[in-house]
Amino acid sequence: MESLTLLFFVVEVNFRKLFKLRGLFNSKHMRPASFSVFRPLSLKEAVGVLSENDDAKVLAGGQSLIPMMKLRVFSPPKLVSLQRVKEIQPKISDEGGYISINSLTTYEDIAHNGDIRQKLPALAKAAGEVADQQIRNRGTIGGNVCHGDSAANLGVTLLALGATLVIEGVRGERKAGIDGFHTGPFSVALEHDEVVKRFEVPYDNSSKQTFMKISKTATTWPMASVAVNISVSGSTVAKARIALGVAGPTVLRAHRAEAYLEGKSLSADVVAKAAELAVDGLNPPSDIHADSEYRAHLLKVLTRRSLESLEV
Amino acid sequence: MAVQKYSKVEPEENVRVSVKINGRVYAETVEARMLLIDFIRDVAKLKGSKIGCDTTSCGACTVIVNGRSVKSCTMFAFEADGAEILTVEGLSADDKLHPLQEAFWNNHALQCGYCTAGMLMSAYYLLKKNPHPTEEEIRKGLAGNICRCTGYINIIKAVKEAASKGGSA
Repeated sequence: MESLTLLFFVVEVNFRKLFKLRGLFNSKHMRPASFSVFRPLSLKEAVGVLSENDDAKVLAGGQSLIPMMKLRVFSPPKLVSLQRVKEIQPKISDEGGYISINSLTTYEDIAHNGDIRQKLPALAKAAGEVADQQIRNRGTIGGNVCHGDSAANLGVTLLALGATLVIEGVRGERKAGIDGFHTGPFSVALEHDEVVKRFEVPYDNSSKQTFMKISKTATTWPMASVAVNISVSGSTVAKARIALGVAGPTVLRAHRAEAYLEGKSLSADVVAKAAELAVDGLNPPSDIHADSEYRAHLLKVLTRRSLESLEV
Repeated sequence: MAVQKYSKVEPEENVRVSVKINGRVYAETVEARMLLIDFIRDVAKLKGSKIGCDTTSCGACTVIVNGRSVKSCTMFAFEADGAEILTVEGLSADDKLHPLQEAFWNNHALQCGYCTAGMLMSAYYLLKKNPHPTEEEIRKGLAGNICRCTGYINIIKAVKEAASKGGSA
């Protein structure tokens, strides 16, 4: 009798354990907390809802937000889905001097757009190298930049390209340069009741540009990334913009390297010196992917390779 | 300037979701937080698409939504409202395997089989967009799908074979 009770006990305990273990890996624990969703049809409705709901979070393509919500790193009680907002639907147009990209435009749209491939090749390359195919099919330029991750391909590239953001809020529309838009880790200069409508990315024929990253596998977050955008006049650099990803709390410009390059031709020595200057005094973050010193080394190598790859 | 009137947007905790999966309409009112993969598996009862990593990494849950491959574990069901979806169950027609499925079979492109549904959907999307991919393009196209048996070589072989036989059909 005793042994039967014991057996029952053992079976029951194991069953519970099994159940609990299953529970741990069960989908329920990888699901977001409950929320309610607003589905506005216009930007006016979207910013109106945001202004009335301090606890609402904007959902664009969801490729960063949804994983965070599933892990419950972040559990907003309200979401404002931009999916149906008519003014920001995927659209790319050449406006003469700049290319306009609506904020819901996906990485895939950008990577394969003829105008962008021809006039903003760094942006096409950066978009085509975001994570993997499925994520590129859903993730958006607006989400990428507003998430404010210093490792985001488009954030780095748009900084080098000197993009302008067109932002809609309850007080109307405003424009902001990308310089200064990234204010800290995962923080951008956007009010709670504002939504980025579109990006205006300037191009000119004298610009030579590229984007490069290093990551452990093709689809993982870059350990380091660099975007360079050089305007040439004759055989010398007229203007340089160099942006570094995962180099600090936000995407950063390598101002000293930029200033050094101006008026010079891109000889091997000049490129090497610019790469040194790009990382001089830099204190990149350390994490499981790379420590600070290694990351600084990667940024230097990427800056050199990027500049070397330009056909000036 | 005329004052435009907008309807007040109300928050929804439960959302009516109507999707066409493999040609059949499935409609159900679900929690806003329901993921598309759960709608496909638990509402539509189509168990071919798998949940692997559940962290947007492995691609086992890949389905085609309005012509684009997506990870259905990283999309809310309400975002698919009104969409046309293709899952692995929709690949074969008239009891005949899809050329990709046929090629996977011929090349032993699956071991445990857990990644297969997602691999097939990613390969399907790749061949739709690029019917004659190079090996490099196949590798890049399938980079969002992980095979933990590491049977990649045969998977790539299978996609090549399907492409040579016009597998984008």
